[in-house]
Amino acid sequence: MKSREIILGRIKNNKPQETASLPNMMFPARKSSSEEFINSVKLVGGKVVYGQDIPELREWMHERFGDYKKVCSEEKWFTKNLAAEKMIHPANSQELSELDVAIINGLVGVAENGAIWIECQNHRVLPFIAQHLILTLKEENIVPTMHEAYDKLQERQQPGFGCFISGPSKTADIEQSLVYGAHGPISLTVIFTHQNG
Amino acid sequence: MKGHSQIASSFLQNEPHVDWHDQTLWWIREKRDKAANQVEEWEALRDLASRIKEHTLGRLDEYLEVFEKNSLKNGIKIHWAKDAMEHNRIIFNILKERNVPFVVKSKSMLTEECELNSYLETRGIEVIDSDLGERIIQWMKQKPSHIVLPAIHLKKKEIGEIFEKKLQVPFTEDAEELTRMARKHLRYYFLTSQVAITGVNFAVADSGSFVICTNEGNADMATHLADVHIASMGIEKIIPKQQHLGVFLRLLARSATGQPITTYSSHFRKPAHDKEIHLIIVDNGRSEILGKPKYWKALKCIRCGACMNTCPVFRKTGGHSYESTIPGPIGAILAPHKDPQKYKSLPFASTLCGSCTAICPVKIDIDDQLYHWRQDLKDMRPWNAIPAFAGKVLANPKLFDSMGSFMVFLQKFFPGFLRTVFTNYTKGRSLPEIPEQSFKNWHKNQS
Repeated sequence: MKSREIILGRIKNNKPQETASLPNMMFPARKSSSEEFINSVKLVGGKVVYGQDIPELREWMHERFGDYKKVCSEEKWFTKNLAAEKMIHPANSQELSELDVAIINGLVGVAENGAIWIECQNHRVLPFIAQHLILTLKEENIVPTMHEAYDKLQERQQPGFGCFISGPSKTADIEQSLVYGAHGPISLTVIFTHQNG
Repeated sequence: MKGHSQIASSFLQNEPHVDWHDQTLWWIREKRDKAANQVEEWEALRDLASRIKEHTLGRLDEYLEVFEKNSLKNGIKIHWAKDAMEHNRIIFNILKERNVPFVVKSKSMLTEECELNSYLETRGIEVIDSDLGERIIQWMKQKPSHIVLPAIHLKKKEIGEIFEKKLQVPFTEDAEELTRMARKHLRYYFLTSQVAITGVNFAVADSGSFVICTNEGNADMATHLADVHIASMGIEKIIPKQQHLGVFLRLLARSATGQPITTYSSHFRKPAHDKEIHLIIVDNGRSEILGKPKYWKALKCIRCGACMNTCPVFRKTGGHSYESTIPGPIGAILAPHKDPQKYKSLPFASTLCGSCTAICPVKIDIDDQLYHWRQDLKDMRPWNAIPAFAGKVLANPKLFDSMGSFMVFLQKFFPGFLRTVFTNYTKGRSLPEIPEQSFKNWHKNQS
């Protein structure tokens, strides 16, 4: 007999009887606030900036990322405004690994934990491999908790891969000292694009 | 065979280190409390999580079949492994087919349980653990001492020394510098490995997808850069619907480290173009636990480690004293299923204070199970005169009274004698001073 049949057979024989039916998931209706979201992003080590507060994108990028050389952007606003020679369309892992900044569209933001849902279809590794990550988000796509986030995702076609990202990559494996930039991005900036959409 | 308390004695020798371990884990426990208190419906969430898991375990065969059907439709290759050996063999065959010299792995307690690393290494395939804490203990040829904080037993100095030795870098105790060195070192392997191995946090039946939670981003770096992703999951990881992830992701990181959520909660549904995902569904004794009425609820565990951080015995004895893959209170009720003879001391490594049960996000009855194990394992433990005698005395009020007077007599006229008899009970503490009269006498004289 194959292992599949052996395992399923054992479970059938052994599983506890009379366990409860699936509980209903009812949560009080809540309002989400940009303020709560901004505080959560700060708590997890990220930063939120309003798009309209960036008058000159090149200058802002330089202030934030110094002498950055390679950028890959899903967001047209960046592609249009940054120097063309910095904009890269990586073709392989080596080129991806040389990226200084990746800019990706965030689809849903969660106020309670600062997490942002992304679906990166071209290169799944993009939000993880760049040294710095910028996620754009429309303020109207902020929901209060994970429950509303999954409700919202349910309305979309499910992607092959998707991820909630909350803050920059981090570790505390060395004596519980928190360090940003374990394997993924060292910094995370969220830009609200309500105005610049 | 040495029991928990004997093994713990070596950890206990370094008192400042024990204090640090104790306080650090308690600090994490406090962070958990703070995070939990910020969620108004926290108790309702725990209740929901517990009921969803119990419901699913009661229909586990059905949900596994639904999950299998949906994930196959998504293009994921499904394998079934009835035990650790079969699990390891499946992985080895996938690696052998591609002739890979090494493989990157992110944290997975299941692969630890199956002893995958040594299996692959004896067959000539190097395993690169990519979680920073796991990489450090792999270098030190140790095992994780905690399921969420694998290197919590180590100090900066030891970590600096192993970096110096393994990476030929100048010695430093600076956590940021060390993390940067590890980032550079492991990036090479992420970029060149053909295959990545991960665990699974949740497998969702209705969408045929699975979720992996990390803070470092190592699972994502490894899996998206490799051609083949092998994920190992225990049969108990299933939840029915994608909506249920909301409940579990709200509980997991808050319970584990006090974070509102892990940095990355990655949802894998389909392999990317030209790539493969293999998912191995592993039993390895779980279906047997499912059939034990007193113990099956331990399978609800989502591996947050909160019971370890709160346990006074774990905090003061360290994870290695348990000598089981999963240490701490949850380990103490899981390990005896595997080998009751070897792990018979673990359910006694507890004060039965119930703190683990009180904070478990899926409401496992850990302290009840510890108590049940003590009954079920008592015949395996060597006969010990003291508890056997104490049992008789406590069951008989007259005998209790006369023994009490006798003890008072001994302690008064032969001080120190009782200490030498009850060595295990008096180690590190002294007996109280003898009062003028017993409580019973005092009470009698009040009326």
